[in-house]
Amino acid sequence: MLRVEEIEVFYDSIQALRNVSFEVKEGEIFALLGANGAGKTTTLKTISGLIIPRRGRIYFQEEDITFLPIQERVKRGISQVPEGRRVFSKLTVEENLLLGGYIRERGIKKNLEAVFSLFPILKERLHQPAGTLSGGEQQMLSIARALMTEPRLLLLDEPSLGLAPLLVRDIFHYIKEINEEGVTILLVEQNAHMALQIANRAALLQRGEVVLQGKAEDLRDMESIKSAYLGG
Amino acid sequence: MNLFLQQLINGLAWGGIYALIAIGYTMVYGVMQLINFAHGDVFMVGAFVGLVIAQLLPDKTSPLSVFLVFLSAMFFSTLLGILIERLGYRSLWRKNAPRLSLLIVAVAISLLLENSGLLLFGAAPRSFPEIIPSKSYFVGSIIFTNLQLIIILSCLLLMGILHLIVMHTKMGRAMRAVAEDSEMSALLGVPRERVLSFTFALGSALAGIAGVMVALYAPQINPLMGLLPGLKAFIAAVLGGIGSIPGAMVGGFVLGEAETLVSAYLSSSYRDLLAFLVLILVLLLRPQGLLGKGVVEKL
Ligand SMILES: Nc1ncnc2c1ncn2[C@@H]1O[C@H](COP(=O)(O)OP(=O)(O)O)[C@@H](O)[C@H]1O
Ligand SMILES: [Mg+2]
Repeated sequence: MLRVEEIEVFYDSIQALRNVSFEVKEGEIFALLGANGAGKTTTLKTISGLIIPRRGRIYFQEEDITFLPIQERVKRGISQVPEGRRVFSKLTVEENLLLGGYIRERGIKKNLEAVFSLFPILKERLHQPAGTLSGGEQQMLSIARALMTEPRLLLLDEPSLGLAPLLVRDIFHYIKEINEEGVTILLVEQNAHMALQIANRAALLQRGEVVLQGKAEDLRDMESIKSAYLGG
Repeated sequence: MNLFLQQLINGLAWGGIYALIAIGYTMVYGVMQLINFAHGDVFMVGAFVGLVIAQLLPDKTSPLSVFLVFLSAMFFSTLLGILIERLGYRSLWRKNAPRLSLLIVAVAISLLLENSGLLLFGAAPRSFPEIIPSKSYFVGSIIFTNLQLIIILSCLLLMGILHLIVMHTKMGRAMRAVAEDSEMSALLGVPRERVLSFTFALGSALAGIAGVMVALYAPQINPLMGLLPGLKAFIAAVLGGIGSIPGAMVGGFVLGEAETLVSAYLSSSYRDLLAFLVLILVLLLRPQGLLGKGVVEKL
């Protein structure tokens, strides 16, 4: 479904990604792991279109999207939930969700209902400013808002970051549920342990390079993953 | 006491006008962190469009004529605002250019408009036809004119309409989203360039109307008339908290009142100084403005 081919990304003269390639298959959960600063966020931003790579290509459903504007990628079904949730704090929960539905002309009501059945708490908070929600609720809102764009591929950047362990479990449970509804998921995590429990396949980034790639169950017990998870 | 009330009423009209212009500054700052210094000149263009149309109309004082004068001023200043954003700022914004580059372009556009005005109309002030014949009303010993009343009520009406657009339409929602987190709104597929365009259109429409109001109130206009009200409205926006629409409204009225009171009780020669004193005090004491929140970066 998504094919990242040999992309190289630079911030000015500093290279953040070197020859990164991987493929996400339709219907799966693909985990992109790595320590802080490995280049996970940069990879997601390149897929969503916030960054254009200096070299390499990105294909989505066999179409070359490397240079496509962000909005076009969203229309084709790529939606990124960025690091740190980024809810519009002054806008209400409802307004946040409606912004997720901005590009969709029809089916907004239906999508809202679907989102409320996944996250009932959001319905109770509908007219509250998003800034007044708890961290866990904001993460749910951020994911729900992305679902409103009707994604085929959901890019999740460290959804568990800064949440209490119990909430982390909930969030991973929701991710699994969304995946079961048919949404393909590219999950970026430092929390390799949790991510590998729900992922089908995974890749490990180190200093901008993919150093390992394979089935989640194969990666689960490898020493290098354990050390990466600890920050090495 | 009566003198004080009288001055408050006089100040309201100027306050409303400052507020209308300040809204444009603050909205553009909100969505692209730019002080659009050409905004005062859009206001000037509004006044001149009003003049040209008023001179063309046979029956200048009919309600239809008054409506046409305001409508055409609004239409052309809206168009001008859209053009300024599209031709002046858009490509720099796309490239994520440093803010200083955008600011330099803003000053360049401002000079271009002022000098075009000088070329077309000359530097000498022109008197604006009295399309709304003046009437005065007395309440006790307080006097106010129909023009003051029209200006104040129209300002309130326009602010009400603006509020509806910003708070209750899809585009208004997108504007607020872009203002809070531009990158995030892009990730949701919000067409940011259309939002910028819309924001300039909205602010410029209000500035154009304010141009005609000042033209009627003054009642003289010249191609440099946008300079001082433009600066003062900018100061009003900073006073209210740049980026905040209610802030721009409050800042406009506070400045209008303060100016009128200063010229009544101290000396009218202090009137224009006051705004700059306010700017310095705000920047020193409360840089986020009256209604602004959070930290404000250096401009
Ligand atoms: N905006 C930026 N400007 C310059 N360097 C950056 C920027 N964003 C990230 N980097 C650098 O690129 C590398 C990868 O960062 P990032 O993709 O954020 O890593 P991760 O998400 O895995 O923690 C890091 O070395 C980081 O310092
Ligand atoms: Mg990151």
